[in-house]
Amino acid sequence: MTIKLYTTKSLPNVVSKTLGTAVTVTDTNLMGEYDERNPVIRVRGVSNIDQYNYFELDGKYYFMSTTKQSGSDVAIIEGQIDVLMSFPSVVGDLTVYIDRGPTAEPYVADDKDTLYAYQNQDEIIFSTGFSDDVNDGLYILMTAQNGYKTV
Amino acid sequence: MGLKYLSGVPFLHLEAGHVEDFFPLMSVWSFNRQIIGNMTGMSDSDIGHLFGNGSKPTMKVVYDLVGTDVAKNMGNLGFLKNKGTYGPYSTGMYYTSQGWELQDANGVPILGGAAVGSTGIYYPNEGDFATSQYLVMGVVDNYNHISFGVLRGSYADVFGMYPSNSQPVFQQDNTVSIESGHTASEIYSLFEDGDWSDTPDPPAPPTSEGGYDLSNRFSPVIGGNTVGVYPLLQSEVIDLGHNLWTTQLVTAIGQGVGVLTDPADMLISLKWFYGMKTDVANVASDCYVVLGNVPMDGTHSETAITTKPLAKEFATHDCGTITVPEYFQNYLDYATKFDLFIPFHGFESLNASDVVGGTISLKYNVNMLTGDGVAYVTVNNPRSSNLVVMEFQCAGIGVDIPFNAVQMGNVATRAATTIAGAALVGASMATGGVGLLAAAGAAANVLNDTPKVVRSDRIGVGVGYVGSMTPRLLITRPVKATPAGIASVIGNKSCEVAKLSTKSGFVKADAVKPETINYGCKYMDDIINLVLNGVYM
Repeated sequence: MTIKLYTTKSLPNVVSKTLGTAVTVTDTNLMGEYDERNPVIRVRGVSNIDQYNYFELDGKYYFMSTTKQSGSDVAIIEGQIDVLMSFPSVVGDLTVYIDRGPTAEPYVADDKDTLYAYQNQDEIIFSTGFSDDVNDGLYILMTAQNGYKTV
Repeated sequence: MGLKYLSGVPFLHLEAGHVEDFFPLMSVWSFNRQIIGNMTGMSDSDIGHLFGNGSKPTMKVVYDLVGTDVAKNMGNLGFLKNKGTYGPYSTGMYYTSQGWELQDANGVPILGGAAVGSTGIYYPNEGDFATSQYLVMGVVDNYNHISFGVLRGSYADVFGMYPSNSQPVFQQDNTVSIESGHTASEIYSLFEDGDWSDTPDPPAPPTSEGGYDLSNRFSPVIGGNTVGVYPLLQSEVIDLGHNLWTTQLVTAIGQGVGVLTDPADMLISLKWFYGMKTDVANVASDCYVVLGNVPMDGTHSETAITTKPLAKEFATHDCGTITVPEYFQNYLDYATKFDLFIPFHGFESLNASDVVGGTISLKYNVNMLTGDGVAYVTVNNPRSSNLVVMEFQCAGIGVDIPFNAVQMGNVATRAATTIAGAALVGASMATGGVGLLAAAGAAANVLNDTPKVVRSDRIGVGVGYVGSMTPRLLITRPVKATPAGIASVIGNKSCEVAKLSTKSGFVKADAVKPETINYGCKYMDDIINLVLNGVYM
């Protein structure tokens, strides 16, 4: 049984993780019954198992959940399957209703937005109001009269 | 389908009811900025339908792109959708009859492209083109031309032929047949005359100026010809005061009525109107001011006062139109409060959906004899297709000028009465009464449900002339505290249905389409749980 040990800094929820250089280990054997979801494996020939946090087994990828260095080059590792990296096409084929994603819908209110307690004020002035200038205004005189008299 | 401009860039506007006319083979398209469907594997004829009404595209455009605009414009080469880090419009559908490639300014190929006759989706990476001077897509007959087919969704309800913001050069010897009914010259003139800037066009002018046109309304007081209505300058009013009680004038007026009469009894009212000198309609001829039977023509030891009397007792004062910009260009524009200050009336709250991206016009219809009026607010929003006309009562536009003790008493009484009346109106509004709201009619739909701030009393009660006489829109905007870059952590607020493999970046789903679940995978529950909690594609 061959496993490949990796170091990855990718978050667990990244589908396509960036992996460091693979270290192939062939001197391995299962501990107990084979559990595809959480396999426990004894590996030999690896002096510092703690530098790895990820491994590949039989075409599937695993987070290295616990490690025990039982000798100078013997370690026991327990894996937890990474379903995203192991089944990327299954993930990619899913059609979903996206709540949050790379495509922003700017006119839908974002419940994650936080607003300051204060608000900003702005003003748009109309070009024309009622001028204060005496030359722009007029008096209107209404009189009782017996018709207009032209000049 | 009609030709239309949007955001300063001309494009062919496809309205919902006519989409199939233009995309007869693309019924799978959604028009909410989502591109759904498999665009690969389409036949030349299919693409031809998109670009040239069933035949090979014949219209050619050369794009001159510089720097980082390149990727953006690459994205405009076809049906577009977001490709995450590649920019806002980065997925282009291409079809090539001659192949395509990226060339530098000297025509030397930089990057190869698709094979001749192929179709597909192209994902331009901004970094690929950042240093390029020219991006040339050849789809017709050589590498120097690009087909006309460029589509983008700019708003939720709009898709169109979009030639990007770069400068096109049309090959005048070619013809284009986008759809029957549109000639090549129409298309050419559309683009050649277009404004190619990214500056959004101002909203279309109001389709209605709002308010009521009083120009043809009969003036009952002036029409009765029992009174004289004279517009006067300040100097003429001063002359009137100086000459009103000359002995000869008093005598002449008394002779006319048979008894000795105070000339002031002939004055019915005198009012001052700020800023309305040019708003009134006058008769053509100069006339003397007449008191009773006596014209002030200078024959009674007084100074003659001549003016052109008012032809109508109504006048319209136009305060103009303002444009309300989309400040945030997102939902926060609609969380903004808009309060319009209307001189001689006070503040009124406006509905954000009515005003954002639209225009507000303000006009007054004023009774020049009573000094009262109605302010008409017309809110026109081409984005939401809202056209709202509101009317608000205004009082005291004309300032009463007392000319004796009785008149002064009348002015004071009127002010007290109107203030008390306004208080009743205010109380009615505060308690949800129908008072002014009912009278305002259409105004009701633009008043905020629960005004939280009183910025002014209803000042249109006869004292507006000592308040501000400049109309203005007070805008109260929320201030976003959300840190920049949060999208890279928790994604953007989305509202779309998509296949996960088409996404790049953080995706948190609300639901999974059952038909796409691979029930053969025994870890499906784990996968779905992860997708519902957010994964990075």
